[in-house]
Amino acid sequence: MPRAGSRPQLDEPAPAHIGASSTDGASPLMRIKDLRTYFHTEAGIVKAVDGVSLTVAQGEILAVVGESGCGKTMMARSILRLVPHPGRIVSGEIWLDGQDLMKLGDREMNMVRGNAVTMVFQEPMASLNPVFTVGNQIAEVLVAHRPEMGRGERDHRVIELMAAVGIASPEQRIGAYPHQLSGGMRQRVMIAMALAGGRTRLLIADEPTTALDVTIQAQILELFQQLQRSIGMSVLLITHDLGVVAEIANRVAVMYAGSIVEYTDSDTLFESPGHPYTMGLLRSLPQRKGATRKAPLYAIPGSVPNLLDLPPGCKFQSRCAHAVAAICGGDEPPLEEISAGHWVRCRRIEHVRVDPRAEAGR
Amino acid sequence: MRSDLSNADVPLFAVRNLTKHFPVRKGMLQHVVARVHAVDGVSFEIQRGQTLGLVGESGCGKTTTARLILQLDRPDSGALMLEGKDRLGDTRAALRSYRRDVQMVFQDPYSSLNPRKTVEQLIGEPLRIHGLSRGQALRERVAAMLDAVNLPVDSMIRYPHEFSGGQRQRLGIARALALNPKLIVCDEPVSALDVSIRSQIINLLMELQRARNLTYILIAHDLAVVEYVSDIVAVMYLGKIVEMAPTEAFFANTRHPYSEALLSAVPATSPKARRPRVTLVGDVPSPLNPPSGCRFRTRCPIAQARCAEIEPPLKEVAPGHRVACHMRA
Repeated sequence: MPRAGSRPQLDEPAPAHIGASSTDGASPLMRIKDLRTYFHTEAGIVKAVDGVSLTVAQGEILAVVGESGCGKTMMARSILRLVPHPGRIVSGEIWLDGQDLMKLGDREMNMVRGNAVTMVFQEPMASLNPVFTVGNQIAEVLVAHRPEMGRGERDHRVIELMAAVGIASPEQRIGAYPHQLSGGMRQRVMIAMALAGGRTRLLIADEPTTALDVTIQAQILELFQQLQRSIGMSVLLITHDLGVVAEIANRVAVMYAGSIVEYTDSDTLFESPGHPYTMGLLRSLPQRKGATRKAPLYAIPGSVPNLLDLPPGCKFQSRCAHAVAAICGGDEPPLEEISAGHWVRCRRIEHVRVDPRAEAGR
Repeated sequence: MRSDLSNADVPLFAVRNLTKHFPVRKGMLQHVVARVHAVDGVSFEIQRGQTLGLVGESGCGKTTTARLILQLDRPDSGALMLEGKDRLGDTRAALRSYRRDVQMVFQDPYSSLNPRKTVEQLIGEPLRIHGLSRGQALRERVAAMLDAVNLPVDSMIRYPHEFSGGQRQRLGIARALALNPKLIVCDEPVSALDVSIRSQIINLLMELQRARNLTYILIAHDLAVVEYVSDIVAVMYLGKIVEMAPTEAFFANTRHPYSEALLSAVPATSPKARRPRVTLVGDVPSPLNPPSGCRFRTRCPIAQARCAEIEPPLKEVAPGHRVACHMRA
């Protein structure tokens, strides 16, 4: 079983075999330790990612869920070291296959990007070049990462990739320009590009279905699951949509104002959430089937705090019904394991768990 | 003065056979080479104080329908009945009063508020344009509107960029309310907002509806929101309504295969609630050249030969529940 490092000289492994050894879904593929990405602005330091630690297991779909500005996208971009100015990765380690990506040189990092670790963005139209055909753009990845391939082989591989991501009649679509494809098809092209190197270990998908219609979203989510099963690829799914999490994630990290506040498997998150923020998010979803209409929906009071001006201590305290200044002020609560594999950042957890329904005026 | 008694059984608002085809012109002589069938014979009605949820995917014509209702675009044919009177052929003066009665809340609170105007100017603008109020009275009216949407009165002197997304949507709602409209068309009012803010805005819309007896047309793609808010649900596909029913009946007894697929595509609310999906194959066909017969047949799992030949009419299958499908109605 070939293990792809940053510069593997291996021949194309048949996709079906990648990750076949990962029968124990728990063996970690990537380990992120205490990642901090700060933006140094005139108004002050914005701690967009403030000490995030995560592991992504072999062949799992890990969702990072949070609202706009919680730092989930910057966390994902930090993994690929693609943080825009004036942001900087201040500290942290990102281990992939025994290598700390933070210590790689730029050239070595280039070989990881788009190869072992790839990324798919929210708006495919903005990520595709409008003046090149989609076939051309998929081939470009092959030129960069599989320079040994001849032209004919490359064309053949592009068609194969397009078929693999569910693009019908790829022989005809290979010559299409992005504007000639629908949103769902464009996102499939982006995924084909992400897989093109043939050695993808981790696919980072940043809100991949947010710009798509629900029926198309269902198709793309299905494709992720199918790829996870068939090539054993891990997916780091960045999303704001708890529905998407419920559909396909194995494990979930909930982010709030730059920190992970809860981290566990999806069943546990939905059945016995531990953090008041997670509880609030879950309760504010309108429940399908027999919704008690006319009763007001639960709403988390207030809005996300200004990252330039965070209160000391727990970042959620200003919106939390359980907060007690003496306990929640002071320093930030640690992320603690409240049961096997279930991590929560809350000092009032005993109180919250005893009486979750007591939370704010129902 | 109209008496309320005579209006008792006239729906507040009704759309009859609304049609809009956009011509596609080409060449030096700008010949019409094709027509986009954006809205094709849409009819529905809403009672006072109720909400109609209009659902469908991008390109199904729901936003065009909204623009036609507001008379921002001229329909090719049809009728827009407000309190029993067709207002489509209105003179300019009559149109002004129509637009006072029918207001809109937009999806994106960032791009629908002029960044160079203060809140007082933004919310006061419709009142000024319609010559309803000025000076101190105008300021008082703006203050009352801000209060109605739970924003502090001192917001008046501030600019849109000083507000968060949820607060901006409150401003958008305040502006729509300023003229005391009878009908408000809400085009995806919460889909640009964060989850924790979304329910605040939904609650506000419902509160205002109760307090002011407002009538809403809610355009949305999120079926969970539609189920929660609407009294009637109408599903559109390629410019046509394919199913329309009272909300409870719609969700309890979905008939049209497209509605089924839409419902099944709604993500689960928990991993335990995951269920097999009815995944539709392919994309929505081009409205330039909609399929013959039933427009959904190219993606329909139960389509038969006759679906390609005869267009299914919207048939009543239960009181108030209408379905356009040969196989299910």
